[in-house]
Parts: sequence; structure tokens; C-alpha cells
Amino acid sequence: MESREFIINKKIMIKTYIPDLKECICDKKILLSRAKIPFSKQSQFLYMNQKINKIISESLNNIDPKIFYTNLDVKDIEIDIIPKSFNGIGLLTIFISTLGDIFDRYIDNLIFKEEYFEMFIADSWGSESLEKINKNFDKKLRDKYKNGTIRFSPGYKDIDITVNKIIINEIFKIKEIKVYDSGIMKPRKSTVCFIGWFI
Amino acid sequence: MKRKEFINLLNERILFIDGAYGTEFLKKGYKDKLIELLNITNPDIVESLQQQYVNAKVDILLTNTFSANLIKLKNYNLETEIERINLNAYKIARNAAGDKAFVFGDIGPTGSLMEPLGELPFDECYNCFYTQAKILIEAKVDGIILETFSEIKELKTAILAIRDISLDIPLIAQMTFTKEGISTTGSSLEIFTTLMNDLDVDVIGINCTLSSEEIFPLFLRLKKLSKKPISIEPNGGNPEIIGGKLTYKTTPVEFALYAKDFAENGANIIGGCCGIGPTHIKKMIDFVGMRKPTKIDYENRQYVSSRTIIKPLDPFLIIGEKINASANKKLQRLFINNEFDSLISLASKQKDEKADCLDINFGKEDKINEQVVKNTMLIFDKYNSLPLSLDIIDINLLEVALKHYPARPIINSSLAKKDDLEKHITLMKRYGGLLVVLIMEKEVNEDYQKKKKIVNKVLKICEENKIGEERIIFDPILLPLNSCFDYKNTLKVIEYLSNKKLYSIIGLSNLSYKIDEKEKINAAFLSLALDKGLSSVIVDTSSKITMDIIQGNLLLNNRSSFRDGIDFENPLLEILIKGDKDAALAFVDEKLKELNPIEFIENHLSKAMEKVGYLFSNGKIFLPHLIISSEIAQFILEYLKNKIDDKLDISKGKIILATVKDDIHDIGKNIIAAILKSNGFEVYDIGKNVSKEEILQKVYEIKPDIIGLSAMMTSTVSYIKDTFEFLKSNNIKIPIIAGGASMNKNLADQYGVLYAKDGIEAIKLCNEIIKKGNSYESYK
Repeated sequence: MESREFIINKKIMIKTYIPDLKECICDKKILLSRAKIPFSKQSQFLYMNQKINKIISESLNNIDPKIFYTNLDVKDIEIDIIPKSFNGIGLLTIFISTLGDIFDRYIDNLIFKEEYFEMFIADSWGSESLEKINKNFDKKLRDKYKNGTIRFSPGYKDIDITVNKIIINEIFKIKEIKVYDSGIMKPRKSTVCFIGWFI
Repeated sequence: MKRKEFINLLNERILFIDGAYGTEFLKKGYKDKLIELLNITNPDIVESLQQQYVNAKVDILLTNTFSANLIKLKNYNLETEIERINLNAYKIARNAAGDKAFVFGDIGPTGSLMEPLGELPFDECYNCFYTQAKILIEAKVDGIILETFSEIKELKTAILAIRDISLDIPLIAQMTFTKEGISTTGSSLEIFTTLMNDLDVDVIGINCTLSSEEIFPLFLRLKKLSKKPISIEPNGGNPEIIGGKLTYKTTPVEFALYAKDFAENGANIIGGCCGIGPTHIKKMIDFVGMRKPTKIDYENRQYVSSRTIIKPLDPFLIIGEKINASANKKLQRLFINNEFDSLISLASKQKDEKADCLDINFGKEDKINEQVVKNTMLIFDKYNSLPLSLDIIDINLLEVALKHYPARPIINSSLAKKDDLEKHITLMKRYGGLLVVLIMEKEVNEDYQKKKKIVNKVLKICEENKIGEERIIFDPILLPLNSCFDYKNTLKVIEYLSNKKLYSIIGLSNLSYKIDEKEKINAAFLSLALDKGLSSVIVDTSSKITMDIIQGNLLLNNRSSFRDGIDFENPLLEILIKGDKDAALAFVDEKLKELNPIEFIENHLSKAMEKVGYLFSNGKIFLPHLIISSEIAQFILEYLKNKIDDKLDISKGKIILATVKDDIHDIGKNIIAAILKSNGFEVYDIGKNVSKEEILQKVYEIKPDIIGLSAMMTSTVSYIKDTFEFLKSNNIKIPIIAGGASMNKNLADQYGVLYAKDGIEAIKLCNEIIKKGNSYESYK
């Protein structure tokens, strides 16, 4: 994928936010739904609760959640990475959330031990935990900036997933996160999010 | 705080209660047995702990008064300090709480067993609770919590005492149970809950004995039956001595996770017991947060109970009639003379004859006194009787019976007149129970239309007095046939009651009083009545024909109990889906006494896994169950392989699995691997982000029968096509099955590969491929 030049006049300030453990906990119903048990059927399977709680507890011990974020004046960004639906914004927040490499190792260890049920639930939990982290951070930003767009990630609509590579490697320069040419990131539980603000 | 305010608050959000006291003081080195003494000797220690709970943001702080009752204090010669200990406790808690938390008076059990299990008489027990509660209520606690009761009668006594002091104090009633949901004195969670639904308490709950994970199944049972808000206070698990310190296993995070579960499944108040300290409570409040309670529907089913036995009214309740001293002076003398052996035998016999409940009638009540009634109740309780129907006319004697009855009886009966009804309703509200109402005001033999009016009048009175119609059992009255009684009228009334979904009852033997061919007449009428929807009967349970008619009618009309969820028709299926390794081993070992491993796999395991696949395909179970079943199946296969000397070759074929280049998603692939292995395939998982060249290399090495490729992303799915074409160009014709979130049948057809949307489809395809031979062309 060809590299792009960014006309950035000012120095980018990358900040880090470390979510509290409680910000990483998702609702059990959502987790089970992600694990393919429909809401309407979940009450029949509450006997799995003990196993699932054990996995959640271990997962919580195996995450290193972080958010890297920056706010960019739209004037300083080449419009190629801004979705069309963000038309009219003045400020763009880009944040990268991750559960860290430790979570990948935890999952890999479960695979190695052939604990597939635990792997499946932990993976589902990881996805929902990351989404919860994103939601909580989104809310913090909205409390601050008020009027904004929806939260958006590369790979949807008009922004290709490969934009992740530009964000991680060229704007944020985060060594902890590797991006493949396909745009997929490692650690596997990592996301890139944009929110635009009408200011 | 008034009750109404408390109830409103419970509807608005989940409330948090504090944690342990005893174990926390123990950690600080306070080893004396009576921690309530600290309220006098070291109030600062108490306040310091309570301050920590307040800082953790609890809504309800408890007074340090769990054992500060007369009976327990007497053991330490401290009964004269009862007022000081309880008052000080209140002051300390109020200081700590300020305006940040409510202060509830904590009252625990007396530590002694009530009659008949122990020696403690009702009056002494009542007085003990009355004394302590009065001090706390007059000190102006915001509410009272009854904690850790293990005897249902003692709890009932405490509730009576508290309500005799104040009708307006918020009241939480909690018992403690074993893992099986039975208290140490034999009462089940269901007996407790159904009685508490009747009694004048605001919240029903469980605390102590069990950790969060152990208490969770009981919580689910409680919420099914509780009409009222629910409280839950688990303890921290079994304590251990680690490094010389008493340690409880449950970590704050584990406790908080379960607290979330309680919150999401309908709890209204959550706190902790032994081993749960301020750190746990803080974490719990952090995780659960401010939230509205989850509304839950409870099963509005009616039960009668004794201390140890509970029977549903539905589909039908059989009440044994034999312990009836009316017109039986001999029987009455047994009551009066405390000669209970014969009465207990009679009770036992009726139980063997499949009675659900026993009617007790003392005969002419002017010959009976309160002591006789009390003794009867105690004896039947002591001998683990079936639930009782208290056939007592005198309202005072009835109250004595109810006072000493431990659980939920039938009160038999009231006339349909307002004053009589209201007297009985007062007793129902105070002591619990169901009420039989005779559909008569002045005349016994009213016509159908009049009886309908009476029924509706009764329902209106019950509504005015806040008694649900489900607690009323209507008796349309059977009279002897030879008294010109129109039995068809009674049948019409029974049908009317059934159509209105009201309970009904008849005393069957009345019909054939002083008539020959009793059994035949009774049986014939009963059959007709059952057909009209009769819901209970007082009957001679030794009459086989009568009992058979009941069972036959129930079977004929399919009036059997409702079951939901999965029907585990086969024990191995249940073991697989529930993921129970221990049970799996036990099952296998049992079967291997008759079968060899191959036979076991063919006759049991394969069939059970097929059934798992069927249930999954039909949406009865879901992906996590499929995965865990596969894990257990694999576990069984490994166990079987280790059990014999020769190599157990059960491989159906070899499969290579890989996630394609630039794709690191492998969860789905790993699940498929587990399912394939559990179904007898030899799986070689070569990992993720695998190039086509590496795949080719592995094909040469392993010589698989099938290749499985996974791609999660649209940006990587094209590598499946690349890999297929690359292998084809190298003359590899092994069938390729593709899967993953971005794959579908159309794309697979375009690429020239096969497609499986899930593990079950993958199994089917693999089996077909192996059956047809491993040439791709021959499969196509």
C-alpha cells in the first residue's frame, strides 16, 4: 500500500489513558450474546455461570488496557482518512484502544492447553471488553466536546481498513501494535476509532 | 425511613449493604467470641470498620448487634447490658453513616432451637426478639434485617415480634442454606420463600454459608418464587489458614463479578457476609454501579408446606381425611391425652397412600384446649409431617395452631360472611397460609346463581384486604346424597370456579355419609368433579379406586407439571452439554463394565455427539455448548485411548487447518479443530497467517485427506482463492473447505472450494468427503 504524506503543521500530541478495571467489564448478557447465545435463551443456561465467571476473572488478570489518543484540527489533516459522513467537523479525535499483548498470550495459552471453551468465551469477552472501553472513552469525550459524529473505525464504508497502518505506524508511531498489510492489528484486541467534533 | 419510602427506593435502584463484621474484627486481632461487646469496650474499632463501608459507598449500614439478643447475651452473663450494647451500636453506626447511608438494626438468631426440635418455647423466643427489636426501633433505626436464620419457625417468630412493635419499619428477612438449598433444620429455599411471600416482610433474601458461586443457583431458585424484592449476601468461601492468617478465597474481583450477575438477574439488595470486607464491597459497587433493578417475572404458583415438605396445589392436591375426630370420640381422646403414636401412624399411612396434605380435625372443640392444639402442632412438626390443613372452627384455637405451625398451612375454613372472613384474613396475614372458604352465608344448600354471587363477594372482600385470590380455595360444599342434595349444582359451581381460574375443594366423604356403596359413589362423583376442573379434595386415601381415578384423570387431561429448557433424554448428552468431566469419567467407567471402548464410542459417544449436532442445528443449544461438548468428547476419547494397551485407532481421516496469510484470527478455526477432533478426525492445525507456500509444504509432509482454510476479513478472503489455485497448480487435488466471517457459499463456488458455515456443517462435509474418497473431482 502506498504511503501517504500528511500535511501536519503542528506537532501531534499523543496522550495515553489507562482505563480502570471497572471500565473494562461488559454486561454478561452482551457477552453471552457475542458467544452466540440469544438473549431470549440465556436464562436456560445460567448453570454455565460459574465457568464463565472464572474465565472473566482470569481475563481481567490478563489484560493491559490502554488508549492512545490525539485530537487533530481538521485543517491539518489530509482529507483522505476522514469519512465522508464527518463532513463539517472542526476537530477529529483518533484513539487506539488495546487490551495488550498479554491478552493474546493468554488466549494462545488456552489454545495450547486445548481449552477451547475457555478460549471462545475469553475471546468473546475480550471483544466486548474492548467495546466497553471504547464506549466509556467515547462518553468521556462527548461530555467534553458535546456535539460529535458517531464513533467510526476504518474498514467500514468509505475508509479502508488498511488506513490502520497509516494511523498506527505514521501518525501514532506505536511500537506495541503491529499492523499487517491487510490492516489487521496485533494484539488482536485492538481498535482504531475516529470521532469528529462540530466545533 | 418509612416502608413506602423504602419500597420506592428499591424500585428506583439496586441498594448495597455492607459486608462482614466478625471476620473483619478477627483480622484485626479481636478474638473474643462476642464482638458486640466492642460496642461498649472499643467503639472506635467498630466505627472505623463502618466508616470504611460508608467510604465504599454502601446504602445500608448494619448495627453491630447480630448476637446482641437476650438469649445469647445470657451465655456471657451480659443480659443486663442488652440495652447499652444495642443502643451504642446504633449510635456508632449513625455516627459513621451520617447522611450517606441508612442504618438498619441487625438481628440474628437466638442460637437455640425452638420447640419441638429444641427446648426453646415460643414465648421465650418471641420475647427475646421483641426486646432487642424494641430497643433498635425506638433508637430510630431506618429498618431491621433478620440475618442468617436457619430455622424457619424462629424466623417467623422474629417477624411476628417485630411487626407487633412497628407495622411501618422496613424489614428484610434472610435465611441461610446449604448448597442443596436446605437449611440445617430441613426447610428448603422454596418453603422459606413461599412463606415469606405471605408474611409481612418487605424483602426476602439469603445470606452466609455459601460463596457467591455456590449461592448463585439458590438465588435463581429464590427469584423464581419470590413476589417481593430480593436480597443476597454471600460469604467469601471456605476459610483457610495461609501464613498463619485466616483467609477467605473469594477475591474482590470475583465477588464483584458475581454481584453483577445478581444485579443483572433481579437482585434488589446486594452485600456480603463472612470474609467479605470493605475492599470487596467497594469493588462490587464499582462494578455494579448505579442501576435500576432488573424486573423479573416470578412463577405465581401456590404451595402448602410443613417444615420439611412442600407440595404444589397444581395440578391437584390430595388431602387425607383420616385424622378427623368429629364423630370419633376415640380419636379425640388421643389428642386430649397426648397419645400421639396412633395419630402419627395414621399420618404416616396416609403419606404412603400418596396424600399431599393431611386434614386435622380435633372434633368437638369445647373439649379441646390450647395446650392440646399446641402439642399436636409440635408433634406433627417433630415427626416431619406432610403439610397440614387445619380444620378448626374456634378462632382462638386456630391462632394457637398457626402460631406453632412452622410453615404454610391450609386454614380450613371460613364462612363467606364478611366478619368471619376478615377474622381469618387477619390470621392469614399474620401467620401465612391458604384459606378454604365455604360458599355459604346463611343456608348450606344455596342455588347456583346465589353461589356465584357469594364467590364474587368473597373475592371483593379479599381484594379490599389485599389478599390475592390465588390464596383462596373455594368449597362449594358437598352434602350427603340422602339429604336431597343436588350434586349437579355442586358440579356446576366447580366448573364455574375452574373457568375463573380459582381453586376449589370438596370433602368427598360427605357425599356418601350413611350410604352403602360409599366408594363407588365417591369415585363416580370425583370423576365428574375432576372433569369439571376440581383442584383439590379431602379424601380417604386408602380407597384405591378413588386414588386411581385422580391419577387417571390427571394423565388423561395431561395435567402434569410444566418443564422448560432442554429435555436431557440421555445422561451422556447432559454430561457433554454441561461440561462435567467428573461425571463423564464416572459414566464411561460404568459403561466399560459391559462394553469395550470401540463399542462405547459407537453406542454412546457418537450418538450423543450426533444429538449435540442436532440440538445445535435446531437452535436448542448454542455455540458455547457445542464447544464444551466437543471438549468433553475429546476428553473421553483421550481417556479411552489411555485405558487400553493397543493403540486405539479411531481416526476417520486427516485434516490440515490454517488461517490464511495476513490474517491472525484463529478462534473460529480452533473451535472447528475441537469439533473435528471430538468427531474422530486427526487434525493438524498449522496456525495463523500461513502463506500458500507453507500450506503446500505441510500438505507434502502430512498428506491430509482434507484442507480447511479460514479467513476472517474481506481483505484476506481472497487468499483462499490464491491458495486453492496455487495448490491446484502444484497438482494438489485435495478438497478444500473454506470458512470464516467473510466467506459464504457464493464466494466459495466462485473460488472453486467447498464451504462450511459452522462446525456441524464441517463435520457433515468431512464425513461425506471421506465416504466418497479424497479426490476433489470424485466429490464434485
